[in-house]
Amino acid sequence: MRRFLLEISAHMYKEIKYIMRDPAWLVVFSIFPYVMAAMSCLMGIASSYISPDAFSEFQRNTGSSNAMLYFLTGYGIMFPSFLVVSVASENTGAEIASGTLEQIFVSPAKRELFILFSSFPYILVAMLGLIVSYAPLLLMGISILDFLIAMTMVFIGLLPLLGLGVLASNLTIKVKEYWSAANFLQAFLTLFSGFAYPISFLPEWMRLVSHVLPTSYAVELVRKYVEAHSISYSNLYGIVLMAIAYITAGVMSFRLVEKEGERSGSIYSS
Amino acid sequence: MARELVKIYRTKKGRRKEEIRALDGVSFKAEKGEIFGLLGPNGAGKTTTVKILSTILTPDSGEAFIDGKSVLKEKEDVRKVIGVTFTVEKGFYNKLTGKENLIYFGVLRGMSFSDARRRADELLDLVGLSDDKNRLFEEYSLGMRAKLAIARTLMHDPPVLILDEPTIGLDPIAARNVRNLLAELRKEGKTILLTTHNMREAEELCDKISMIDRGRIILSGTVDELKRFVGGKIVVIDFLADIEMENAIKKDNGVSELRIECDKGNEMDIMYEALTYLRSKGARVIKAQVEEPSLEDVFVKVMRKPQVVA
Amino acid sequence: MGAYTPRKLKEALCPALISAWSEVMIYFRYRASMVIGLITTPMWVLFFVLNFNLFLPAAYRAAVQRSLMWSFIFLEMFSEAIWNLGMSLRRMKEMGIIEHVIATGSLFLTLLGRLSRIITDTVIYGFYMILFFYIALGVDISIKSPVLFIVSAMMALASCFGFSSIFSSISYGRRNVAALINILQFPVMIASGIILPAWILPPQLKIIAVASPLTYPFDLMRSAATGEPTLLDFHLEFLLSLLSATFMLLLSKKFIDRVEKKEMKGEVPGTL
Repeated sequence: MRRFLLEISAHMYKEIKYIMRDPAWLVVFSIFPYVMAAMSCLMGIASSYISPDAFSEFQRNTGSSNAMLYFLTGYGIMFPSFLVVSVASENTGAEIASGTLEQIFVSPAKRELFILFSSFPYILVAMLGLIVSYAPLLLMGISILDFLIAMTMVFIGLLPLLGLGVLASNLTIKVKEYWSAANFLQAFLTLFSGFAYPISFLPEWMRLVSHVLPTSYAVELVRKYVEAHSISYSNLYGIVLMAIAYITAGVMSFRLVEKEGERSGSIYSS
Repeated sequence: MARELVKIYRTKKGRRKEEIRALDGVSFKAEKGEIFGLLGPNGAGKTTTVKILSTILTPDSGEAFIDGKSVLKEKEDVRKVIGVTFTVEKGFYNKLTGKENLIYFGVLRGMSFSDARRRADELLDLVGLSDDKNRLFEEYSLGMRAKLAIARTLMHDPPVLILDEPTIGLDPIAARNVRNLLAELRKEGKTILLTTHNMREAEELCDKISMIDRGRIILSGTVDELKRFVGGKIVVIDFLADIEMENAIKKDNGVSELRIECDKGNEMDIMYEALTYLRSKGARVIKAQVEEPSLEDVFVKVMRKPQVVA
Repeated sequence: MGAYTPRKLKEALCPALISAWSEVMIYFRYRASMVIGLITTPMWVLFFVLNFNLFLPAAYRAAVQRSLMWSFIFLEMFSEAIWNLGMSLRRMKEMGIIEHVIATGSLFLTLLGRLSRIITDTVIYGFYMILFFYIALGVDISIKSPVLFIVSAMMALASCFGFSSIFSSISYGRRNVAALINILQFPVMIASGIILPAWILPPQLKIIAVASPLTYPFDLMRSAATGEPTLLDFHLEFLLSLLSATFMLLLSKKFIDRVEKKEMKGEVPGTL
């Protein structure tokens, strides 16, 4: 147990040091949801020059009368999702590129802990960034309890992304441009998760894809709570199940990396 | 100990499948407390051997043991008793300091944070990086990286060190410092497997050497045993000339060096003939002497006769 | 006259030509990125189209999607410029190349050559996006004034080059250039009428758009493609585009020369 905890601490120590050395991204992270929400609202304003009923149309399509809050809710999940999925999906590739993967492999450290806890600190940091970024909403009348519950929901929603990112990372180890998986996942999540529009707005076949994404459940969960104060337990259970499924798949897929290393040595930088 | 290690890399170039026989029955044995050198040119199979011994690469056949433990069947146990360096340019985290890198790898090997910090300080002092311990790895020069790599291998105080070309790319002073350190570690009873293509380094440091080329061990033994393989003496003549001579090596300073192997007793005759020839070609002789054969001479001779002599 | 023979001109432009060639070579080496880009571009396009459709009744969508198509192409041009050129000096420094380039006295020309990559990327993605919008969304892809479009595209490229090179020079000594670009790129694109047409911006943003040198060439391009109105009178806007493109090019030369001087004085710490 002690060994287990020490290893987790080591990975978290390393990643937190990395995060603290580059705090500029925290500023970007804090601003981005507002920039994107403003841009989406600007689309509405621009649309109102073309059609005076633009915001009524918006309310008809989304069921929400407050466009800014609607978008802020969605983008508040989008950016932490981007961060977690990017880091997790680039992790193995980055370790290969830096030549540290073989050093991890020659140590007696548990590979499963390495693969999960190299990315887990980013969930914590994403949450911290989100809390800081969205704290001004408390001044708009949102209660602290509601705020904390919403944040907890986002946190739970991010867990499956850890597994999804790790899975993507391990399936693409032979691709030299290892950041490609992150680019793909970000675009994929953006289109199918309903960050900026309801899933029902998508064509039928696209909605099927949304059902396998944890972010679509997370967005719906948080939106229902923020707008109607109701907790959708079906969404919550869906996210938890996905977390178990994706994380398990991600960890098991790391065996592919190990096997490839042992077979061909092609993933080692030396 | 390595026994009949075979490793074949199978690659695909377009539709064509290629097989590269990186190791072809490699066997050697290093005794406890000695520095064992695996000496060979680039592409000989040294790094492949190191990766197999460090349990991250599986051979196609053969077996290897470290401290009595099988690298194939007892991987976890082997990993606990080895410290390994691969390429020294990488293998660390750029945005961590030297000390932080050591702490991370130390804790990963089961040390507590406080023990890892203390040990990191000790080792950074030992390798001469105390003043730079709080600098980011990306700011380290190659020599500093090499020292840090060695420090990492010692974090958990393993009895066996496997070092893959630890002095490659280092300036002479840095390389000498690393060699002195390795000699000290041998005195402490560490068993060190060292791969290198630097013959002089191998000659200076290693108790026993195996020469490897194209995946095969071509010669093994102590330095003296290997030199006896050449048999005689070497006539060495340094000269300046415009002529190109087969077997003469042009050094960096523009001087050419001719090394002629000869039997004992014939040195003077050979030297006379060589000097007469060079003078007839207008060469200006700078130095002429008889030397004991170096490992380089051994290697060159063995390469001309590609037999496995273990 | 003897100083300007074709041969001498070619020699003088050699750094730009070789830089142009190498940038295109490098661009096509990142095949996985290109493939992923081709897959993800329609996703991003659809995301923005759907975002707009939240507000627009069906009758208005075609016209807006047409404008959006051009927005994406302009976005790609600017984005490629700011990311490629905007980080170029910093990257050259980190890779240890900048000293070699400065030694040949051709830092500005070398950066100018990098326009080849921006042009290549914009043309490829431009064609791809036009094809996507036409096939998937049935958008009208005709260009109303092709000649004006090409002229304004060249002015837009010059402005993007100038803006990005100046940014690169100013951010040269800083470590977190990527973070800065992330913060800046969307506000700049919104305020310069790249994402949304300048004429449709709210009054507060219109003021910023009028002041931004990037606005005019992109506004002209959009007007040439779709026939939408320009922010200001057409002739005035054409003149302002020409002036801003020239001004940005000359200003970027000054900034790049300043970086060269700093390097030669050793005022920027090395990375090794």
